[in-house]
Amino acid sequence: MYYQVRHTTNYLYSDAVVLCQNQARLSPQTTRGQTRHSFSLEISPEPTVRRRWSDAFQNEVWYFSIETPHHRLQVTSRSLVERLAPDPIDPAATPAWERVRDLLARPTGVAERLAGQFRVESPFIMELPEARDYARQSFLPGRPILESALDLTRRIHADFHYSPATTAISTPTREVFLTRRGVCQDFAHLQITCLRSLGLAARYVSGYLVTLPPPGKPRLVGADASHAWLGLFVPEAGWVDLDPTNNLIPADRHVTIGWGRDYGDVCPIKGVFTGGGGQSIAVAVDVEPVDMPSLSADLADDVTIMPE
Amino acid sequence: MLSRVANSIYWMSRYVERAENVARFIDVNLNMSLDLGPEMQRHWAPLIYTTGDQEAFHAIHPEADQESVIQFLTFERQNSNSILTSLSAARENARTVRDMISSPMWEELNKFYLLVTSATPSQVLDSPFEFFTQIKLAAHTLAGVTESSLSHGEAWHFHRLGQMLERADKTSRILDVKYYVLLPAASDIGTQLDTNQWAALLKSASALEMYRKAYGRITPQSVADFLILDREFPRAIRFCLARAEESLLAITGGEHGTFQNRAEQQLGRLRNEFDYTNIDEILQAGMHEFIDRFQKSVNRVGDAIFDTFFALRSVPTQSQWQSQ
Amino acid sequence: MTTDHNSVESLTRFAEYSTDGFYDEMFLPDGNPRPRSELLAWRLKTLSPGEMASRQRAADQALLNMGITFNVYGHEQGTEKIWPFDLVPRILESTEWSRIEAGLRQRIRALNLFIDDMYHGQQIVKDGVFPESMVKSGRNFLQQCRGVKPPRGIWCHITGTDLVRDTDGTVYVLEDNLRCPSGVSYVLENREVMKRTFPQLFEGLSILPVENYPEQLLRMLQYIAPPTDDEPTVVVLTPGIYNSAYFEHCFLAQQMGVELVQGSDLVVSNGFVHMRTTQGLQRVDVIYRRIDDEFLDPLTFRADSCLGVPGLMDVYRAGRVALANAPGTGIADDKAVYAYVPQMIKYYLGEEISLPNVPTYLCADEEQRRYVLSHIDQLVIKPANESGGYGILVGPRATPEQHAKYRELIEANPRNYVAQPTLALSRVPTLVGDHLEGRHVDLRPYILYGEDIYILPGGLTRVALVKGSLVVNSSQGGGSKDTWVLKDGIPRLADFLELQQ
Repeated sequence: MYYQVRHTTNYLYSDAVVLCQNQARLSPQTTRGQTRHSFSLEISPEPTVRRRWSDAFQNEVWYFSIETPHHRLQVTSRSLVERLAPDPIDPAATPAWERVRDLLARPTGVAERLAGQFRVESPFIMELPEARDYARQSFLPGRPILESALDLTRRIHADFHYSPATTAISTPTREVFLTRRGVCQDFAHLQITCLRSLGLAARYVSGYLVTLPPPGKPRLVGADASHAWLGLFVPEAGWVDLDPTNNLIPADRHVTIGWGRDYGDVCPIKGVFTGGGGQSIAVAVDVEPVDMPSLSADLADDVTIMPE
Repeated sequence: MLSRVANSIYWMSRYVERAENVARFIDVNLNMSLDLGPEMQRHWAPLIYTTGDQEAFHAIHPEADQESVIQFLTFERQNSNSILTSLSAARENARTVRDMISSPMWEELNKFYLLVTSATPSQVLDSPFEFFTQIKLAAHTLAGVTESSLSHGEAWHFHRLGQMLERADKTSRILDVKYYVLLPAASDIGTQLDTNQWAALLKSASALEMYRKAYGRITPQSVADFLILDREFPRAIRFCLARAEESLLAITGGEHGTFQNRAEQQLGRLRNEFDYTNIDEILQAGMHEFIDRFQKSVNRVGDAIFDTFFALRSVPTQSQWQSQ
Repeated sequence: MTTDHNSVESLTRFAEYSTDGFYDEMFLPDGNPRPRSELLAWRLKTLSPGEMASRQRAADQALLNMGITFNVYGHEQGTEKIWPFDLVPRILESTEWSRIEAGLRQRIRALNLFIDDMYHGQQIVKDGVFPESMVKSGRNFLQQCRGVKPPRGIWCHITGTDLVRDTDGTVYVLEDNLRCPSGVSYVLENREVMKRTFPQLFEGLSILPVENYPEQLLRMLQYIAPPTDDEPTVVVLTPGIYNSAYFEHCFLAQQMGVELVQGSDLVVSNGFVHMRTTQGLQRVDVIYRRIDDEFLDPLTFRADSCLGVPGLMDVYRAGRVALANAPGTGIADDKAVYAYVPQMIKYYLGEEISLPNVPTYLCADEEQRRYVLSHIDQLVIKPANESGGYGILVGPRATPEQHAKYRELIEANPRNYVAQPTLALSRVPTLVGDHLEGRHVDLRPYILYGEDIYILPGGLTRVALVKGSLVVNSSQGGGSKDTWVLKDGIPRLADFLELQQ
């Protein structure tokens, strides 16, 4: 499947902002099952400084500062992404979860070694005894890792209520556990907390979900939203994505931007500004399925790089 | 010099000057109360009006009498212009720039602060003259130490700029309140009582002797002339403005009669006005109106100094996160 | 040359002083001074009664007047205290100091290579020398610094390494402070106060100077500056007046003749860091920062930091400003990592460690943890990444309840704790009332890593002023002493007396 993604963020300020510094992580990674064919980032007003680099997780980061007074900041990213459904894995055929845990504790190969950083606490993922107990009910002795993880995904989906109004960005997982409510980001953090409490490696994935219109209805432009799920490290298979908000293994309707230890590492846009008074934010995401575009082979990775 | 440091030094000096002048306000009234007797009680309220803190005052005290006004102007933490609040603010500013000011300055300021914190309202009301004299003395000591121990470079000029602007403003307020008290009773003009009161006013500005040398006999018009337009007396408004401008130009490297920024423009314009006026013109237009206009101008100068030196292009008034 | 050895001995022997079985830096167990302290002991002996105490009072007054204070956490905001200073100096011989210096050089070079490796290929992990689990679970490992190349490849520009001496005289490394080690200002001030109040003690001795530390520090900071047309602008970045080491921040800025700035004084503009001055924005090339990594830049680290500078890390990453120490250096400031320094030295330098570590048990390791839990009453338990002496349990001095509490803490979070045998720290005579008593000390030399490695001769001798106490931290009732490193040979009293005649 090919998708044209447009992601627009609008900030409005009651007073002029005289200086702002931002980091944007909006450019989809090219990874297994996903190819980014093009990417562009439009920023208005024109940034004073604009720089691009790759972070520790190979996510593309765009740093920009605006040093002229402004009341409005608009950031629009456009990407063309090709997404394939991953090869199906037989959950029952994956190794017992304890074996994976032990392998990660004493890694021998490069892949397990690299996965190690996703096994331990990070700013949003703190040890939580109730998470371990909750996870244990799915991770029974000797049970294959992916089978256990899918069971956990299913239980989170069943036990927790999707409720957009309940959480702010930084709702602690402990609180989500208590209220049993949250949004995709909370559920991703929750399941990561569970998995890491068992000594497994799990990472946070930021991206988009394509919403399909009800049969016969036209697709609503701009009605999509950014989405979050998680990846679980499974030896041999590599990273297997899990979406507890929708109780499924992401296939060709999920577009990945990037990943990190938790939300803090892959926040789409973060910034600090001076002045400005009150602020409001409006986000519009549009993920449009497109036919095999008039894309020739030589357009393989046409990243529009704005002048610095 | 760092803007923050300059800002702290400027405000340290303004707050010290403010504390001293509030003591002088009270001192004027105390002096007069000896002559006016019981009638004096109604002259305490105007003191609150001149500092512009009537709302805060009435939130705490139902009536303005000697006791409540002295308490409010000296010790009240709710009053952002009280002697205690001003000295606390001065000391906090000094703490952040201890490496830029001399240790004798810090020590004297500390002593000054302790003088006020260690006093109790009842002690002060018991022997008010002694207390307010000590305050004036502490301010003089600090000024002397500053003069002789701080290099007369940028820091010193910011110090003097703050001190002179604050003093000019406060001298105008002392005059204003006295005009309010002294002029309404037209029948008193020229009487012995009237002269005594003007003498008390001059004394509070430590100006009596210098005035006598310049004018001899006391007339309201000459007193106003002396406190507003004298070129040599250190508490006269014109003197203060001239020194403030000198310091400002020393900081910017600018030239008298020209300007490169708003601070120079505002202060130069104000100073010029004082160079080309006389006391008859001021009295004709109305003393209170003149002072009112002057105080607004001083505020504009203060704002311009802030914009020019301390704010620059992007002071972070607040930093916030934006996150989706 | 003829001298009456016996008469010299009688001149310097302190009959009433006992070393109590500890290694004493000044006296031999038999009560005679060590050769390096002969002259000092003789001076002290010949003082008139009460002179020592009156000199001590003069020194205290001098410190007060100089405003050498520190703020105490947990007390009323802005409480300033004088850090107690004891007049009797601690003396080190030049031969021993050279050995210590060489050991520290070796250690710092290895630690720097280790930090660089950790943020790049992690070859030491791949080669199985340093365990994977240690890297990833260390709270001081900053993923934001992976792949960053600090100017000239130096991460740990300023290090304070704590040394202790055990009963048999062996000097051990106790820990490495690579984040924002403080205390160097006391070394300089202590020497100043000593010279002012007790100049006689220096007579006949040739002591290595400490006064050029600020110069060396500035030289190092300028060395790591990004290329500029003019002389690079260096600043010291402080969290502000309520920080416990604010005095030191002021002191170092003043001594180097550079600006002392707070986060709000700095602004990132046009891709560079600037400070706001009354003459407009002025570019800053090197920041000696005395605030912790996580507060440096709210855009990259803690969003709620108001101490830092938004966008700073982006400028740093682009190589347009230098930070000392480099962000991320704290990874080596971890007592669990410390335990691997001998292996690091071997791995990176192919050498054997020359200044030994104190044997350290890692609670993260199951076997070692079992040992620690069953011997908790004999060991010192330390949190792996706290500093300032907080959270330390001295097993032999603790109650059974405290033992139980620490057992629980260790079991709950084994990675966070290490244990070491209780060392009998060496002692130095210290003035107590009108006489001398032995008090335990450690030593913190300061190491600057720039074009070359400079080590401040001696460093800070911290002394536990409470009788029998082993905790020397300023926040826990410790004081300090002047530390003298003799320039070359040991001047003997007999020679000195002869020369006098």
